[in-house]
Amino acid sequence: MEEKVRISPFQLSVLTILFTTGTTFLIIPSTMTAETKQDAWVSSILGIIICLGLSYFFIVCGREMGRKNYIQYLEDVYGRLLGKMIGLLYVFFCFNGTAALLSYFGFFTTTQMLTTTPIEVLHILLAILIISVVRAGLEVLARTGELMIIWVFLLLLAMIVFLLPDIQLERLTPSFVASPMNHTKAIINFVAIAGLPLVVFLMIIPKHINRPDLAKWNFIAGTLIGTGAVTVIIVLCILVLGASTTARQLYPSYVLAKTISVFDIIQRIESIMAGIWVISIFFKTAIYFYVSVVGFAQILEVKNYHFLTIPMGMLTVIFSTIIYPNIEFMSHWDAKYWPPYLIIMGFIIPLFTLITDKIKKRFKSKKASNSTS
Amino acid sequence: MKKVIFFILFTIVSIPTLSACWDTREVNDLAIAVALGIDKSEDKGYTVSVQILNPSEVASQTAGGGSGYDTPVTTYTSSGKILFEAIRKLTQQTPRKLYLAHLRIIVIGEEVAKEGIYNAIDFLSRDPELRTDFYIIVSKDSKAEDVLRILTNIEKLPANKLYESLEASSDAWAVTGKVNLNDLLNDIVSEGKQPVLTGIKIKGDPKIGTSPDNVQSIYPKAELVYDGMAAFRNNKLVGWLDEEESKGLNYVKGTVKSTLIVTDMNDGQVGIELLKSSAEIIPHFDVGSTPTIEVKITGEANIGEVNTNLDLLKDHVFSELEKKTNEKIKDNITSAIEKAQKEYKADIFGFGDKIHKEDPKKWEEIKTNWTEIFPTIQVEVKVDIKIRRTGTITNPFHNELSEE
Repeated sequence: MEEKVRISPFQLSVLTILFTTGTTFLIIPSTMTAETKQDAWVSSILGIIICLGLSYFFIVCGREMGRKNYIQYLEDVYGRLLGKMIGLLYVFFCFNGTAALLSYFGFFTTTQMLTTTPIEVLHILLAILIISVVRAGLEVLARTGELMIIWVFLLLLAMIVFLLPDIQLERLTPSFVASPMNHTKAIINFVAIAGLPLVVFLMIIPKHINRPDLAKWNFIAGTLIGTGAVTVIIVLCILVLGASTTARQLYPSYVLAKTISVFDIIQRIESIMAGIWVISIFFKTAIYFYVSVVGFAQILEVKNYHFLTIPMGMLTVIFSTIIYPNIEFMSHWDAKYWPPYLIIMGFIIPLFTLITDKIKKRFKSKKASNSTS
Repeated sequence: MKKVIFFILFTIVSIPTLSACWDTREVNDLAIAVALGIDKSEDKGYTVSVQILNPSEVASQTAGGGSGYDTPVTTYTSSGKILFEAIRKLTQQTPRKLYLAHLRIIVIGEEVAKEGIYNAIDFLSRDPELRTDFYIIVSKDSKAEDVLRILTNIEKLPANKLYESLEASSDAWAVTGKVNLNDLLNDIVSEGKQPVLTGIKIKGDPKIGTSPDNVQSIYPKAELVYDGMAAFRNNKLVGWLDEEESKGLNYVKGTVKSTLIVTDMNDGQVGIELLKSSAEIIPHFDVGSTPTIEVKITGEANIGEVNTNLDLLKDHVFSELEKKTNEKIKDNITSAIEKAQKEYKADIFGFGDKIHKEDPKKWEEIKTNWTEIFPTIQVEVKVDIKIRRTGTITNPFHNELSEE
């Protein structure tokens, strides 16, 4: 399983940006505005700060790991059996994440664009892409990211410029009226969707970075740009659609693209704008899938993970068709169970592991110094 | 070898998934709907009338030529318990399946508006095919169905004529309001603002309006005319504003782009062309528990027409004209406010919304009985229009005529 794969720190930030924005773009504006209405931008800015703290935390975790990936590190800290069991939790988390994202993509496409297309076909289409890119390896994924992120940002910029005539600043008033409780809920949602999943990057940093010393700031900058872009979308949604309309929509940012009409010439371009979401969802899904495959290969202790991609990909497609039976279940799950699940997987376990490791190391060094003296 | 097998498998999977798309709909399979009318049907459901484009007639350059005149649109009508049912039922009549993405205008029948428009609107915002860039209007004194059956001159498509003329009258005359679906929904759910929609009336004989005779004569027998605005309370139509009151409403909402104000001066009239205006609503909370509202209108105007003896270049004339213009605008606004407060009890100006924005805590206290409070609040109107220029000439011809 010794893959000699190295990506540059810049590619790491590209992947981080695409990972934090995927699906977040689509769904977060309505969940945030449902809680804090026109104050959603305040909670998302607070959310950014927490996300930055989290990415710093992951860098600190990565520093302790040296040249190992997260699952190897877990085995080191907890011993082989327990480590593998916790590792399996992460593999399942990523597997689950891949399936959920396929499902998100399917729901989005069937709701807004291809209403009569069987959802399974859409899942299969995206899954084929993801399987082939993961087979090609992390380097290919990172380079694709470098090419595609330009398009994401060009389209995003175009969307902002085209929507400028529709902006009404007074939609932001009355500001600062949301209760702290609602803010907390909104921030938890934001962090659980944009920040905490970054834990999967522990499989990539620092092991697969060619200059780990630079990874820190690139990772944090990636998180900042990604969450910042999400905040821009949230603000745009409120300014153009208004908080109550945003909260009522299933995919507010798509509706945002639908409202573009500049001098009656540039209009009806939402299908082009959908590129933003399709590209970022593709990368988020691919990273989840890559981590689940590589993690599983690590647990099986096999040399090469490639043979796992097709069977696991097929399983993911099947799982994706049953993971969310309907939209109601999806929103219930996302609101009730996803945040606590993510807090355990993305914060508590890494923190606990870090502390255990520190104690162990100190104990060891004490023992070592004792034995020498 | 492995690669070859993979490649073949990949191709086989790709062929059915990539080549054809389930949702493909060819243009010649679409019945493009350009206008939608919603009426009450006898059995408490809805009657939907749809104006469908007749592509060959719209595209042909020689309409009314050799092959005779075909109508550019056809209107179909069908009814159902709910809106969607009625629309799907239309397929029994239409030659193709309805395509709603190019809707320009939705006409809500007066009866439906009186009973509540919410039920008619849910479908419009839920269906992915519909967009939000069409305007919504209310038919006055007639059914929406009849409105969609009138053929129009110059703009071949009646839906387009409704759309363009709504924009033109709103931009240049300011007695109509351009309301799209998002605006309407926001107003309906807002606690401090009630929606208003522009009214459309059939002028002339609706029967003749349906036949090509109507457009083949130089003087159309039946026309579609915008007339006043409909005020809503709790999504039900409660009454109409006339032209002057609609203008007053638009001043307060700050949607007046340009309009004309006729003032009396020296036994004649002077037309003041308003070029831009802006409105500010300022709530005051100091006296007692009920807030007072101050409405401030500022703007710039030109002199557009002078039909009287007037030396425009004397310095007091401009200020007198300004004073008269301000009074006229103030009259419009106060009559609109009076009607909304006394007769309709509907806060169509968004005063409540403004109070909410300025003082959210105060609004929490009064929002539950805002409908009762709104008719009692004091509204102070201040208008300050500056007249800048006199058009291309200075003094009117009138001055020289009188010398004879």
